[in-house]
Amino acid sequence: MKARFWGVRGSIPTPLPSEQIEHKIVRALLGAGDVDLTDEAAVRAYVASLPVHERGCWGGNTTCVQVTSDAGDTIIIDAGSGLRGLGDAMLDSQFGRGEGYAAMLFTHTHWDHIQGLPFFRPFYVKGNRFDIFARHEDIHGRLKYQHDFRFFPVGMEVMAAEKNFHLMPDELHLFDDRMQVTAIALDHPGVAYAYRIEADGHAFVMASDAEYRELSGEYWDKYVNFYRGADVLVFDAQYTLREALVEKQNWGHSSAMIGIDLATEAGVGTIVMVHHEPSYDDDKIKRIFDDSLRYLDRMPSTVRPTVLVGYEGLMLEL
Amino acid sequence: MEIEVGGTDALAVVAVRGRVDAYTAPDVEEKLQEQVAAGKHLVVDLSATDYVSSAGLRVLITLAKRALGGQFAMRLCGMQDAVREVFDIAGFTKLFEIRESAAAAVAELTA
Repeated sequence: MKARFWGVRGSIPTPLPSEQIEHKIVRALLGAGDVDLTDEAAVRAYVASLPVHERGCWGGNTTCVQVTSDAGDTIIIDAGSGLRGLGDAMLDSQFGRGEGYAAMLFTHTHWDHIQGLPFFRPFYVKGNRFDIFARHEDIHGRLKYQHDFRFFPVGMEVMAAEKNFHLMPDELHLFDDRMQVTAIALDHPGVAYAYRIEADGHAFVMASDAEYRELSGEYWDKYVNFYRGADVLVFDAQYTLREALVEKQNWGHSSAMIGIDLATEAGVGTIVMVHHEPSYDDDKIKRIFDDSLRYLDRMPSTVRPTVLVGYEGLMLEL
Repeated sequence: MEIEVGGTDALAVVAVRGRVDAYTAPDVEEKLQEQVAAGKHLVVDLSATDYVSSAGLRVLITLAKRALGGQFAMRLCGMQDAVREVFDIAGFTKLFEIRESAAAAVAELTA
């Protein structure tokens, strides 16, 4: 099973401002040392050696993750603005010929999780088929509403692909049971759902967007149990712990420190921090990540998860 | 994890020994809430606390927010470096009244 991240930003698409690009260029040039800046190969090697957030960015597109089984079955989780890039890439496959089939899961239908849908080109190709699932009632109605003429000029009926909408059952078996999906409700305004996808002997959990109102007891244990043993846990780390518990309590998001506690207790292999706060620049996100690693170092547990910052283009093989 | 409660009728000194994590935080919370319900000020002695997780921080910040209402005073004291670093990482250090020792905190609240 593989997971590719096409959108990792929270709340609203966040293009990198010019001054931040300029800042990165200046910093990279200052750090070039004795690299021969007239030698393109040397410059490319140097740039490739820089950390993700210095040679590029964590990413400004909102939530979209592609999960693929070893057999090539595809589940798309959420349709944030990152879906546009995924859709364009899919056109190079059978989806470009109107012969594709994929499943889609929606964690919830806040804008930042559906706004990419009108720009998802495989939906416009006749012959493609999609099964679309959500735990929320009337996912079709919710998505169709976004295509109301007052908000977008193209109605959903114009999108020629076959789209079948479903209320997700407690246990979902996809692709002749090669992939299984279960869900758990998350605390988020309007409710969001975490999905656990099992395939090829591995488990991938998508848990965005979520606030954890209790950090102990039965409430805590139900999430530890749902995340238990996952190879990858994708976690809503939009806020610092101070924001999550004090300044932005009840706003529906969590922090990396809570994620590390959950992942450690659940025996998760890798936790990927996503839903980055749109008002935070790449350096601030890096500082929060570094702090979370310091927190991890302080933990008494000897079995610890790998901690990653989610970024656009991140590909994980489970 | 062990909790020892001392002090006076007006002020409780609650010493926490060991780890405050998802499993032990509810006991710490219960003990601290009991003292507040009894109308006492709180001194939380962390000198024998070797680890505080996000669950422990949540218990303490919940009480600190209540203390801001003025019904009781709350001081933390005796933090080991490792625990103080967790407070720093969380951005919590400035949200608490932190003293070097229980004696200093008690003297301040009984002055």
